[in-house]
Amino acid sequence: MAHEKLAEKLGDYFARLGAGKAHKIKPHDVERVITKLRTRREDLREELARKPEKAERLQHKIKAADELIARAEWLRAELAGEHPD
Amino acid sequence: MTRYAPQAQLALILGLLALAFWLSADFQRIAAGVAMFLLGMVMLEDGFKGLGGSILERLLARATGSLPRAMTFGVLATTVTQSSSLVSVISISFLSAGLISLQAGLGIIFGANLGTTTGAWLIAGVGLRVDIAAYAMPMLAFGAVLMFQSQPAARGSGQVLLGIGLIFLGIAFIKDGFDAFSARFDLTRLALTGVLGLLVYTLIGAAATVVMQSSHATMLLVITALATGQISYENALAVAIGANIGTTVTALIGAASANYQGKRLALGHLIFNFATALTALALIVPLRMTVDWVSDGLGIAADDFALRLAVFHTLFNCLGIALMVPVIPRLLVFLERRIAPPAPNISKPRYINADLGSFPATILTALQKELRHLHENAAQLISEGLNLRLEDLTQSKDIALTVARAREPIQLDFDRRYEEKVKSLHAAMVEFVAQNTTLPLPAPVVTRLQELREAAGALVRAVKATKHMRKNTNRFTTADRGEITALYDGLRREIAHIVVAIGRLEATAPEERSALWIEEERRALEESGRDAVRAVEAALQTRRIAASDATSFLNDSGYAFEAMRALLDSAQRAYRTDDAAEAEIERLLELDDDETLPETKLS
Repeated sequence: MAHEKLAEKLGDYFARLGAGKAHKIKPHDVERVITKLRTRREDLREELARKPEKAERLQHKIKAADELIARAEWLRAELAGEHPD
Repeated sequence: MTRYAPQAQLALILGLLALAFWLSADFQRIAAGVAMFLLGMVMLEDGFKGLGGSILERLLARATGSLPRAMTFGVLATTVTQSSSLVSVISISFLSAGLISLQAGLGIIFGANLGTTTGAWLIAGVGLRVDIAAYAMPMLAFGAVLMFQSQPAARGSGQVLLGIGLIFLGIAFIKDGFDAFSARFDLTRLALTGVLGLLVYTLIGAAATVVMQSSHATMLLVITALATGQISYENALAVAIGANIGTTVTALIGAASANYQGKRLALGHLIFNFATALTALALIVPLRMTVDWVSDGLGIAADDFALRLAVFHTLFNCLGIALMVPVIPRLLVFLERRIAPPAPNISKPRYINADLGSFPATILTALQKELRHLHENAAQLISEGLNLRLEDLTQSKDIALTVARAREPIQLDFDRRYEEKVKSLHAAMVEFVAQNTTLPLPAPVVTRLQELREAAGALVRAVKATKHMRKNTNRFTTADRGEITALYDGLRREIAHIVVAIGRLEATAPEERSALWIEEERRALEESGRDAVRAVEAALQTRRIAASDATSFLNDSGYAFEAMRALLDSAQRAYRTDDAAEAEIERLLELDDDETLPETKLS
């Protein structure tokens, strides 16, 4: 499973939500986070084009941004009930 | 001797009450009414805190834009809650936390003084005219049922209902007590006329307010006494002026433990009320004529002295505002000169203090600001511990070059600086969180408080880890010793990158940034960890560094990566968004340590 750890954390979150100890999140809340992450990734790509001497460090950051976006998209789909059980 | 003054004062009050009870059974009824009224005020204040504290906080945060807005907020909030002390407490806590300006605080206090005069209108206009005890009974019953519910909203509503019920019942008791009292005694025989009467009754009004800690209670007593003919109208006016003076004593006591801003606000309040009272005393004759003119215009009967007293109370507070508003800029200068901020000692908490009350937004904002304060101290110490100047790093366009050029050792007593600038602040924050998590705060607020405490703890870990690198940093980076210096510069550069990245996060508008950006730094850090190990292995294999130096480097790189991870952990928690839903998402998306730890953990 690609996002096993995330699925585990989501289970914990639902348990906290059930106990009234967490704030309810909706797919459109995740969409807002995804927008921020995509904007940031674009900024990093622009910085990479301007500062090739920092290429290695920036590429690591862009890779991390890609992973976070993938995790966020999985989370959004999970909350929207788009994943088959 | 002064040690026993509070006990002596209490004994005197209790003794006088016992004597009065023995002399007059009617007085017992009046005293019981005052007791119920005061208890009702406390209930009402607690209820509004539970029910609408956070609403008041949000409104107050917006009331800082201009003086008229701050004053309007003061008038409206005090009119609705009938508690100028609740509004004052919130203002002092916001001012102490640096959320509003002193000018806004003064505006709110001036407005609250005007808002509190609505109490006199309610008592004179409604309280004494209808059988309010009949309304009190269902309120008390419903209030008691609601107060024992577990939901904060129901509990708060219950306290508000109980508070109003007790206030109504108290007014009814006082009214009945004075009615019965009037049949046997005529207190107007004690009336004093002229300047002497004015001064004596002003002092009585002030003393009564200090003892009861409520100008509302004094106004209730004097209006009821006036309505039952137990005090002359002239003397009642003086009592109302005295109540305004007495109420500042309560504010001064409250400000004794406040920070310098709270003390400035209390002094401003004192000046406002004294200036108003002195002007009212000096202009009592024209003021009384104006009251008569306004009252006639409003259709208030010539013998309805209770309502005329309410008109007077409002008019003289309006007069105070008209007098003081034009001189606010000069008052601000005076207050700022008179009560100077404490000498800058960055080891003492700047924002958290015991006067923040139990208002969630205030507590969180103050703690967040204090965490940034701790971060500034920690970042400075970490940088200097590595012989780097923080200001050079934050202004640098090429961090690698800045680090490579930093060869001057920085004289530093690391342990002392840690004790003074980091540990003391961290201890204050831990204590603050421990005290506030015992309050009935919403679960997400408690989670956030704990998260901010963890962020502070991570900063301390980062500083401690850097301390271990200090000796070898001095040994290998104050002169160019070839490969080993380059390796140590690499560690310094990585830490500098993280310090600067966190600074950039701080400079980005909260709505545009995300704590998830820290994950990107974490990824870059993992890769550098692997690179560092590869570099030292290659240097060892080609005998470019000695084995003993390589061991030192491996140990120190362990500390460096520990410091960097701790800095990132701290930033991730510190820069969590205020949006509750986004904050939950960030916590879910963050990678756990076991998902990110470099395979080449160094130690």
